[in-house]
Amino acid sequence: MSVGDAIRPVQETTLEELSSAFLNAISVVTFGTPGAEAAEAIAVRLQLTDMLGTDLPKAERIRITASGAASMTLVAAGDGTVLTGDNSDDIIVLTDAATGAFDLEVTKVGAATVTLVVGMTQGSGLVVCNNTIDLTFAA
Amino acid sequence: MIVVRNELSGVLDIEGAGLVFEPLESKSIDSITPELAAAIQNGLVSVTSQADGSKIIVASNGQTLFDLPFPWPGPENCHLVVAGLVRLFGVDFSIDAANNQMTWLNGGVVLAENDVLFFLKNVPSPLNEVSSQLSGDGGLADGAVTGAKLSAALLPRFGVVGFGADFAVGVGVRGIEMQLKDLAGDNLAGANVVRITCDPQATLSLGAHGSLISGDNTADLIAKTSVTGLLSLEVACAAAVEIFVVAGATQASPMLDCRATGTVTFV
Repeated sequence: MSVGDAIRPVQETTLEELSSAFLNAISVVTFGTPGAEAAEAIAVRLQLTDMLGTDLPKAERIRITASGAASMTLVAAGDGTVLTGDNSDDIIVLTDAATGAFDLEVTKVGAATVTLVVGMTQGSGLVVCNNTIDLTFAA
Repeated sequence: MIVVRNELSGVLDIEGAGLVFEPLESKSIDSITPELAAAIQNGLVSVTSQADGSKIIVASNGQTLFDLPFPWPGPENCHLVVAGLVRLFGVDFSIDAANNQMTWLNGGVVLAENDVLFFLKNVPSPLNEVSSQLSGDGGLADGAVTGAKLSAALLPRFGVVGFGADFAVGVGVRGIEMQLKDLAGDNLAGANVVRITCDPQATLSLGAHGSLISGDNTADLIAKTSVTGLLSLEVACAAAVEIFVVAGATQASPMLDCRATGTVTFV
């Protein structure tokens, strides 16, 4: 093995090799499995993870936008806080510091597929937001 | 290693070599300096023996036990050559590390007087020096890469927002400064664009550091920091309230950690 092989970090540093502080500085927004539709509402949990997929207990500001004019709010007694836009299709939330989660409830009348997208906003940290989810509402 | 002896009946001081011999005294020398070589050539001292630290000369027919001329560095760092063949550790020979002795095991090859046993030692290399710091597969240990260890090219791609304490500027106007730092905690070099918002009952304008892009005297301002990552803001508000100032990434911003907020208090 050459010295070059031994000192691999050139383009070969893995996520596992990142320190926990560095790893935890970057959050990834993931979606859990949606619940069953009830009273024209579907609950789904947003969970922050690190880039290795481990749940990240962290308070993070996230903007959530729903297609089809669906409305969003916090599940009763769920984790997280709505900061602005409650019961609208564009809300800004704060994940729960202890769990890194936000329990979202999406309401849509009639049959439709509602797509949720998330993004960074004012006051956000480093957040990876490229995961989306489609929620299917029955007639 | 050589052994040299003072051939004089008096004290011999070889200037420049740092060697002082009592009459007929012998000394073991690691290397021959020009001064010592000159003394040898002039007959002042004689070489009585010399040893090669990498070889053993068999003293008698059938000899199997040998004192090593160097501390045994381990089979991965030293190989034995006899009669032109590399011999196998544990098969052809064994080492008693505690006594630093070698035993010849291969009964099919009987060592004869004056046979030479050569030891090939690995040359120290940077790899050996750094290998203990690396994990078994040659990579970095898990968790070893901190933000501070990022390259100079990568580090400025991540900015971390921080706000200082607010301060008085004038009647109904207070100042606050935002500083971008890198993940190592140093001021982020370069002018970077940030969006600053606050409670709409207050307005924002640019202070002494940074440059305005849009939103002057509104609650939603976009500005560029100074080349040292500093942005000075002036916050105007007529009410006696606490105004929170929040930064965010916008068009042309780098990756920004904007979780820190500023607080401006009007009384």
